[in-house]
Amino acid sequence: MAPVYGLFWVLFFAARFLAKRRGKKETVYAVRPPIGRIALVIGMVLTGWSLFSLSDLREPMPRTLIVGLVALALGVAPALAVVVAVPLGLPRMAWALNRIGGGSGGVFELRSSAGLVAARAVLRRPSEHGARFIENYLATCPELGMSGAAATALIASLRGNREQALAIFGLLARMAHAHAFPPALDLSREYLAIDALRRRNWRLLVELGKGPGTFLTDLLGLVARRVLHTGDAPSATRLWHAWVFTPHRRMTWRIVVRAITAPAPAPPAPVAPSLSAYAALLARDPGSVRAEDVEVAVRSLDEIRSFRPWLAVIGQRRLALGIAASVEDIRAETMRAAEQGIAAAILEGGWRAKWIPVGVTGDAVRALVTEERLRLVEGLVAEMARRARERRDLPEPDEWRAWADARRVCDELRADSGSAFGLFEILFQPLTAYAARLTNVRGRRVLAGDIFRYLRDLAREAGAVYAYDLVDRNAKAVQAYRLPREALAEGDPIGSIDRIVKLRDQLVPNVTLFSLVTAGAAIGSVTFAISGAVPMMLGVLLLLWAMVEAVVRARIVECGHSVEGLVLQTHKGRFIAPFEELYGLKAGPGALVRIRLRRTPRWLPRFVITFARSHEDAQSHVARVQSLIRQKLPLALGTSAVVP
Amino acid sequence: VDPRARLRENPFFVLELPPDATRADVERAGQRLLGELAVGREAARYFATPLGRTERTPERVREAMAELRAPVTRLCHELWAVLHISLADGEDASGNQGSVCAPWLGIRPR
Repeated sequence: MAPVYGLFWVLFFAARFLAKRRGKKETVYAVRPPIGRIALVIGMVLTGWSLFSLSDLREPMPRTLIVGLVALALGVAPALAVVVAVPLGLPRMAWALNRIGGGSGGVFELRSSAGLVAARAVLRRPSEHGARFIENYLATCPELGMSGAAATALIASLRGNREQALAIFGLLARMAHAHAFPPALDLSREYLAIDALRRRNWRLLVELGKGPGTFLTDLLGLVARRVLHTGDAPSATRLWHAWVFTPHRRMTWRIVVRAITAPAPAPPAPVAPSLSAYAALLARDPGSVRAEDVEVAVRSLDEIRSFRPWLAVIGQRRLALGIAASVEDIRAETMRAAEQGIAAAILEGGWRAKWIPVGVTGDAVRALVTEERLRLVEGLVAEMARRARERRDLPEPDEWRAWADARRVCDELRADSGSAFGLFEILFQPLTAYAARLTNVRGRRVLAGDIFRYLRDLAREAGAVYAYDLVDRNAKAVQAYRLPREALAEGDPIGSIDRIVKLRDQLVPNVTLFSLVTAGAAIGSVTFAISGAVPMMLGVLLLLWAMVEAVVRARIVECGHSVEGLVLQTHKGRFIAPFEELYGLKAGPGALVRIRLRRTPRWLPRFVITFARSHEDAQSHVARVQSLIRQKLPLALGTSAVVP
Repeated sequence: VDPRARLRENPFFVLELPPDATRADVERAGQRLLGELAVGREAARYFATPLGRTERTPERVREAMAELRAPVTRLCHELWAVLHISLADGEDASGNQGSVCAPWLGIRPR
């Protein structure tokens, strides 16, 4: 009996250790059993044990071997989803395997990662039915996370909405922080790289190849450098070396051969008092434009500006056509049109404003580009702030798109010049209000976390000491690998967070685990041998854990009331129940507050409970909410900061 | 602002006329192209620009004719029609303006 009992306590502590590691050094209350990892450990132990017994010519234990292999399969199910179901183009199978294995990634990716795997499978065998299945599944996730956002981008791409896909993948590719979800990051970079290859956007390929990426992005980055003949262009040997390690060699073979035999790009047209360099600039692929091309076009305009024969001919034609405007006016108008043309091309191609040389024309073009980018970013963030202020939320993929568009322009502005302080001044207030609402009200912590981190980096770059403390606190408060355990920052809290945390996230899980393991081990050791005890206890443990999770823990919520309704914070996510959706709200017995709702998302039961500090406290809260519903009095909301 | 529109939709390119074309030349070329487009002549379907071949439509032809009737817009289009011609080609070593070719006259001094 002792070895059996000991084995289960080892597994128990291993499971707890793995669960705790998800939160790193931060305080994590909710303990979620990492089913896949537990199964993997059990499978390895039992399989190894069985094989050892067989090799030692002892009595074979086929039942143990079978159970071990099944547990092993369970543990590697997410990997099977990627290796088997995705290549076969079976979205439901990919989804099921991922879910059986407990998902992959951090706490916010566990559910939505199944959507990403399924979306990859749908791409192999495109079908609208599969796309709808994934969309319906993602709608049940409390939050999309990086993997859910990547899945929606893949579906958008499947439906031909390339712009949406590129925008979201562009944002995901920039979210390279310590807790990013690597599969989503790699997928984004590969998608962008392949799209850039199709459009011959060599400059983007060079950028993608610089950062940490996949074999494919590395290879394509080298190819782009070779095609552009940059100073650090790789040799043919280096290219073939990278090609060997890159998957899909048959497809990349031709790309590498073409890159090696590609001629050096033509030098830019010489600077001359004509607009031929301007025309050449516009005729090029936006992705292959170099800084020299922009420089020559701008300097050519400068040459024209001071070219006296040109002014003389304008004067002749003006007289011939009977135009009253002065030569100077006509010249200025023509030059202005050309400057606007270059500025528009720079904006369209996303080129750097610092490529523009200093000069009369260059300064004018740079001013136009910077002004337009500032106007664009002001408009985008003002729209986001307006929606936050008026509480007009969009579906989550559209929120991702809104931030992706704003961030793209912000990055262009940051790369242009050292105007980080000006940019921070524009972004700080509206983006903080927007992201605070995303976190406090809607529980979109991955997206809000990226916004706060961006603001923190910008504040550091701009030297905005007066705001750094706030943005740093916000960024830490929404770190995406932590569970949503902060106190509610919106409205008045009803529940006592200390009591709820102790009950829901400490007492219930610990008592459940302890009693299940002890009972299982005791029964198993008395009744069966190890081969019978292990599968029985594993099955019972998982079954009862799921029941406790669904019946008990999911119903214990933190609760607050704001102008929008009841804010319900579960251990999975946050939901705002409008007052008209409230079916019943009662206090008692004791400090208990019972809440019945008409409609809820799939992950939230319709009957939930919370705990106030006392019975009187519970009664007063209930009375206050009921009077609010009757009077419909709005409450003041604070949306300037996230309170950790 | 479409940066390529001034080049791609320049009336002189649409009508395949030199920038020094007279008003009568413009009307004649426009009517000829409209007729050719009406009968579906393949050669009339496209025209060359510094940014590559572009499709010609009857609407585009009529618009080009209208643009060239107004002197101010015509002068503007004249300036843009010769973007690919280097003005410096006609300048002599001493910088004498008398020998400089007028760019929108197709390098031919009048």
